[in-house]
Amino acid sequence: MKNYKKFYRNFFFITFLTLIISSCAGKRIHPPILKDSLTESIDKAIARVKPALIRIRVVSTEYFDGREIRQESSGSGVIIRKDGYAVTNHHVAGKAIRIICTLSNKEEIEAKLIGTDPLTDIAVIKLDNDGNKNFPIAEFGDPSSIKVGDYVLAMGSPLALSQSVTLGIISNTEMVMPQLFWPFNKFTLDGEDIGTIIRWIGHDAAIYGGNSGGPLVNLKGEIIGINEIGLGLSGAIPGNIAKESAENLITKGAVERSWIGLEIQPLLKSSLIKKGVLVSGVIKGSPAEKAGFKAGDTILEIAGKEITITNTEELPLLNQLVVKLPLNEKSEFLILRDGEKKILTLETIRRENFQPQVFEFKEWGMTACNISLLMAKELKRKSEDGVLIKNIRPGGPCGEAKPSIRSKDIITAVGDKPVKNIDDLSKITQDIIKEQTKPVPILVSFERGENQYITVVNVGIKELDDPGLEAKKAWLPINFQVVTKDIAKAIGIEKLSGVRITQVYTYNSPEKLNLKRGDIITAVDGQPIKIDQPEDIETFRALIRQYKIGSKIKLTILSDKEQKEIEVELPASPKSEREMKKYRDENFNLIARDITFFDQMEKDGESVPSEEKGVIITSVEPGGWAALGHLAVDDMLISVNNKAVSNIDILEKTMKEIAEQKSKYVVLQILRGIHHHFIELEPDWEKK
Amino acid sequence: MFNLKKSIFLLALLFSLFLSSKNHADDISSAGTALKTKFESCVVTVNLVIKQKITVQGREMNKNETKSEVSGTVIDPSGLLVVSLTSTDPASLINKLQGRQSNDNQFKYENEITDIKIKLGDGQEIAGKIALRDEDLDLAFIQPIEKSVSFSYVDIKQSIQPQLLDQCFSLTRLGKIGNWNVAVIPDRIEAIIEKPRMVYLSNSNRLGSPIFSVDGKFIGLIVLRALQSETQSNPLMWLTGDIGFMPVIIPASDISETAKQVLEKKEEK
Repeated sequence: MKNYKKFYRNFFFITFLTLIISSCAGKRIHPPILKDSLTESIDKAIARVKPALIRIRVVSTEYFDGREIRQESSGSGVIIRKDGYAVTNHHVAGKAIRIICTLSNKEEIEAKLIGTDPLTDIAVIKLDNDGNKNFPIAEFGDPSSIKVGDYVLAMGSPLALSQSVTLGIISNTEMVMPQLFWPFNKFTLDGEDIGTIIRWIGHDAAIYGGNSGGPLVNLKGEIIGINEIGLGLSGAIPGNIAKESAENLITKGAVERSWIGLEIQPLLKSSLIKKGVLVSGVIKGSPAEKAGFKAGDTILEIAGKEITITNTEELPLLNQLVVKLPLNEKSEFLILRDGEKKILTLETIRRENFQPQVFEFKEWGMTACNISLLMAKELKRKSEDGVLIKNIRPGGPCGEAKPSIRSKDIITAVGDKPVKNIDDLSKITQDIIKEQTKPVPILVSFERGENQYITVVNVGIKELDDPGLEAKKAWLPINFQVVTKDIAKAIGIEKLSGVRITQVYTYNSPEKLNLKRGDIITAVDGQPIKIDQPEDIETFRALIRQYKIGSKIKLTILSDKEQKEIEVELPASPKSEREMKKYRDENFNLIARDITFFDQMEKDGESVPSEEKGVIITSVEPGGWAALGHLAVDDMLISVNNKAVSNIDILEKTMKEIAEQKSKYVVLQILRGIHHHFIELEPDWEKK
Repeated sequence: MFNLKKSIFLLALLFSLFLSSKNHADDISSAGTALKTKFESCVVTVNLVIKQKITVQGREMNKNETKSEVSGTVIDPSGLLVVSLTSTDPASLINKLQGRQSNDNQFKYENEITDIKIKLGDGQEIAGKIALRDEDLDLAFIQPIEKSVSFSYVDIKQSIQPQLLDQCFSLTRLGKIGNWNVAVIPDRIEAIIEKPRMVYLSNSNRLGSPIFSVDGKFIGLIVLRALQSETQSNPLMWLTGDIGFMPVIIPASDISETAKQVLEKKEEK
């Protein structure tokens, strides 16, 4: 009995102990976790906006050296309407000829430019929407509610990365270009000073190249700005201005603004006048001049609204008011002049963009544009008639004329026909070059400053046909090195002089050339080769070149330590790259040539196997379809849409077929070094 | 004591020395003037428009165009003229000096000529094209496209092989700054270099200029000899003397031999 009690007592004690130990080993004890409300807000804001973010890849046109140049660039944007309208910057997509957008789900969609406004640096694009797709959107918030210290997220595709987010706070709600940087304190785009009507939202969320056009977002997930610049602090265009510009661009294709021709500045500190804004100047011929404004006037009210401007931060707000005055209608201005108040009535006119579209005139070797009203005022011209030269090609017709036509000259007449605008010049040019096979000399009148000049320009395109022929020389199909004194000593023949064969080319008839690597040529036609410096390598080459093609020469060689004499017939040197047949494809902006003898030798020292035949790419013009697909110079093109292209003739035929069929996809198989790749091109046959 | 005879003798000696040097100077002057009269219209200006192309790791950058003015020598009545190849293709010199191989695809610098105008002594301009290049001799042969103009030319068959320190003249067409006048520069053959091939050296360095002997025989043309560098260029090369190029005179016989390839092709047509 006693033993049983002891047993049960021990049993229960051990069991209890085991339970205690196992329960402690099986569980961890956690302290309570606090919720991070900021993190949660950030996550929600990102979740709300990120689906609407787009990475924008653009091919745009620039005008340089008298030519239209294509450039690739990348930026950001945000979709604001379900049918695919998206906002970005003018400097991202305003001159785009091709736009490819990548959504946050990695889907790629083409887009087109709907409209652009350089003065606010806002552009609107529309994603291609075949099947009435509903795109995810982000919405504008109320920027008047923002304040310094608010958290913001800069969202976009910096450095062309996929959609990214950075966090910061609002640092400044009235950021203008600093006076300290005068005279470089203007941010100008296509002649427009952005800072005249924009006060940026300054913030410290990091933005980089590629962030442009992306949204600045509050913690509610609303767009409060469009990121644009970095000045140490990052700067975003306020959301209300961006939204207004975008809506105008969508509904009307442009932003309509009024122009009055007044120049204003804050009141002077020395002035006794404490209210209003100072008129510093009046542009000649402007509505303000017609209304009777004079420099020195103080404007007290505009359309019944009191105005007081004492610092530069307030100027953009006043300019915003002025550009929104009713267009082509009268507005009243209460002014103070010489102590007396007066009312001036002014009728606004439409404000055009400063910089009209630029066009390339290949037949003239220049790029040009119309003259806008604002441009005419800057040029001190009464009329907008004429065509302004933007830049010229140095060797082109305008550049070669005597006297030459230069950048900023204005063409006013061609022959006896006046040139008022680009359309006139285009029509005249077509008439000149019609059915002409060579350039036509034409008398041209142009203005330079206050002077009127005339010159003769040979209008028309003349392609220089460079046959690229190289002089034919005799050639020994080997490569070699000089046997220096050190080498001679090392191989045990101190007085040895000549060249050592490093490579034997299997050219034409390989069996006739009884030479191999390692052989040393010591004499040619009995004449010893007396060279021992590496620089003397040219001496041997020059010696061979002095023979006629087809000559038979006797080489004295040391082969496996045995002296021999070998007769060799010297063929002509193989064709160089320059001499090979070429093909230029204007649709894909590439040039290719046939393979040279040495191209094949480069691959692996022996003839290239037949399946590796192809053509060599010699030029891939920036911005063209081939460049967008990352085809590179020196790639060997092996096939196009599965058709082998072993020579230029086959390539030309294949590319013409593709152009006729207007193939949606063109797949190139290339060899780059030792690596094979497939490159898929998606040409837009409507745009070249 | 004053010695009259000695004084007269010394004076006579001095006077004869003066006369002989004046005569010598007159000889050079006459020879140079005669050469200028005979050959100045054979030395022309060639205006080129050169497109520069840079490719970095297979990616082509936007091209630039520049204008260039080089000197050329007409060697055939058809107007075939010869210039230094380097003056039409500066990229090839830069690539050589920087040790860049032709198959280097890390960085490629290439030139392409997009326009050629041959400017004659009377100011007339005629369009031209490249007929042949000889990289080995640094020669480029340019043909006029228009056939209607007649050309004065240097008969390269009337040539001579000079000796060391022989007197010679170069005729150089000055550029815009010199109003395209012809300068006649007296010179001497300062060196005869035999390897890798025969070239001469003088003080004249304007590429494309012809060199004549005193009696008007054609010696050769000034071109640029450049060595392919084994390594990257030495940025101090101007100080250390490690300069890999030098103007030299290519003999008339070499020019004639290569020119045959153009002239014979012309005859076949």
